[in-house]
Amino acid sequence: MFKNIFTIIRKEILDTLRDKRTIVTMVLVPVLVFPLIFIASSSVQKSVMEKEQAKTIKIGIVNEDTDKALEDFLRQQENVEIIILDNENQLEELVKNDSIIYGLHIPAGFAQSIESMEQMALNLYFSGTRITGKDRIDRFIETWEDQVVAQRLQDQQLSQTFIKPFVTKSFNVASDQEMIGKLAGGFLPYLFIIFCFTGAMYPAIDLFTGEKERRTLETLLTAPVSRIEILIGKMTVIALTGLISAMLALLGLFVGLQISAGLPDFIMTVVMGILSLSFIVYLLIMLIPLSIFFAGMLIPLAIYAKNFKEAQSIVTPLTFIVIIPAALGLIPGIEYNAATALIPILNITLATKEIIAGTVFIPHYLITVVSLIALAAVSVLFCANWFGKESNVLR
Amino acid sequence: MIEVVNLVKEFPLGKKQREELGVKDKNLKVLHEVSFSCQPGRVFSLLGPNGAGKTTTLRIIATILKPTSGTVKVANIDLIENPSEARAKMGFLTGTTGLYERLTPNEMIKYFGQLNGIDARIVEERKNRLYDLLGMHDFAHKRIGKLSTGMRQKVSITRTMIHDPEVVVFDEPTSGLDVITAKNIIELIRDCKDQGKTVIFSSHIMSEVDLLCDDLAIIHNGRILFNDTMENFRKQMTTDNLTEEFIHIVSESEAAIA
Repeated sequence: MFKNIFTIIRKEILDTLRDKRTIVTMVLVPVLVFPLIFIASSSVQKSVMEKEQAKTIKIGIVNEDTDKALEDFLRQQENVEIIILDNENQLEELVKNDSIIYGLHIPAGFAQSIESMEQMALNLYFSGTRITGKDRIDRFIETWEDQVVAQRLQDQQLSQTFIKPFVTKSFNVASDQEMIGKLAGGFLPYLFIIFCFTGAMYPAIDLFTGEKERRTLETLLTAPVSRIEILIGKMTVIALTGLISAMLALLGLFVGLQISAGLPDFIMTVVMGILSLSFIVYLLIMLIPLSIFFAGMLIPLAIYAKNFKEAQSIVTPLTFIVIIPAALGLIPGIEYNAATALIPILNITLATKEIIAGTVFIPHYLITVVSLIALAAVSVLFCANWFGKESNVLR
Repeated sequence: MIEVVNLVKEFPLGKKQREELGVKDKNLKVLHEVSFSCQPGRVFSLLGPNGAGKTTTLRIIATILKPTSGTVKVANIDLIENPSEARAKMGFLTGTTGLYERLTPNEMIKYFGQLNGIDARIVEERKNRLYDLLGMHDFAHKRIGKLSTGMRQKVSITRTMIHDPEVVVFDEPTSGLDVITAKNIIELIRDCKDQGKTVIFSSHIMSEVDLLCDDLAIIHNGRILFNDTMENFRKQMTTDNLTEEFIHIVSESEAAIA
């Protein structure tokens, strides 16, 4: 029996590796998608930010005050062009049509109000659609405000502690690893679950519907091998492609993170630390039954479909059934407990978050693994029954 | 040897199919107590118009389909009880046999040799002999997807014969093939007969039947209308030629049903 299964596995691997569609979905997309996304997004973002920061900004000022101190301060800043306007109503319009980046209205008596320790409002016009928002002008005004406050303290012969009587020292009891695991850790399983499914999708269609369509299944059925041997051989290859696809997506994600710029060093240290042997072992123990389960979901539909097109239209909606529980795990507040450890797919997302955070509770993890193995076993039995019916195979 | 006794095959019908066919029965009976036997060293032809039940019968013999009732023995092995064992004794070839397009003929033949549990050395010997016979060496390393119809059919023949089956089942083997490729099949059937193998082939082409067969069964609407030797068929002919006689028998059956 095993000899025939291995023969079928060897042949299906060879056949699958020569299928361009499978190679694209199983290898190229998972490996390249993240590095490409990260490189493209980080380089575009970096370049836009740098350009925005280096760009000379036009600040339109309507100064109704006789004092020019703030206006002069802004004029002295680097890469700033001041445009003096007469009417505050002009500011909003000019910001809207990008003629100026910021609009500042200095009311009459502004300097006097500072002098007399009163408070007046400065009206600032900006567009929230710009990548830098109001960061640059905020920095200028805060610097000027600091100078005013420092002058006041000096005049009153007061120290900084007068306005800042105490400092708060914060101690984050959660490690960086825990924070990343709990807050962003759900993203990782979401990705490899999707890739595990899509990686198995094309081989499932090719090895069953494709064989039906090309009439090779009939040829294979006349060979002295049992249907269960054929099923196990093909199912192994489909599960394997899903597994490889998921692992390659993971690898692509880590490579993408490493080659992309912009993430703080402490995050990078933690992210790279996640890729340990124990993490991979924990993950594989869950991913193996999951990929068998996915193969078990896909095969009956692929057997039932008459042709490739029909198979695609039947199988594609299944992606949503996989995405929904995987995405649920991203919602903060859904805890990994004995009940959620039993919910397929969601349990993997939650368990992975805990594994990344280093807080996984082993009994819950075991519940997840056992439930996934049971699910995989049920799917194999269902497939065997389904593949045994000639009305499905020769439909 | 092939022994078919009281073979019945019913296909379940869905609601839509019942409406299309205008029937109330939930099952469609396509074979009605079909019985015949094929002897070693003789060519048995199953002749019938399209939809007569030829392919269903041969698919049951090839164990692709399961009979609803009745028994089939191939080389004295019961198909229901030991389908894998029976398949090891059998070769199955159709005019539209599928091949793995991404494999080469060498890989495909090796695969089926392994599935038949044959020693690699024997597979190699038989493969080379069949390649010599069919002139296949030149394209043995090319992907099957890039081969012509004739070349593909030669691969199918090699795949069918690689395990040296006792019984060979041909289901409309020349259907859709050009004259030269069809000639290869005719020669193969003759070779099989000369080697003492049991050969059954289905066809609706009377000239092929006339050329090859020793025994004949005419099937129509899932029922055997005639089952005897070709010699006896010729003796009891009431028309001028074989095609006319075949049409006459089928028409009589149609009239009887009407």
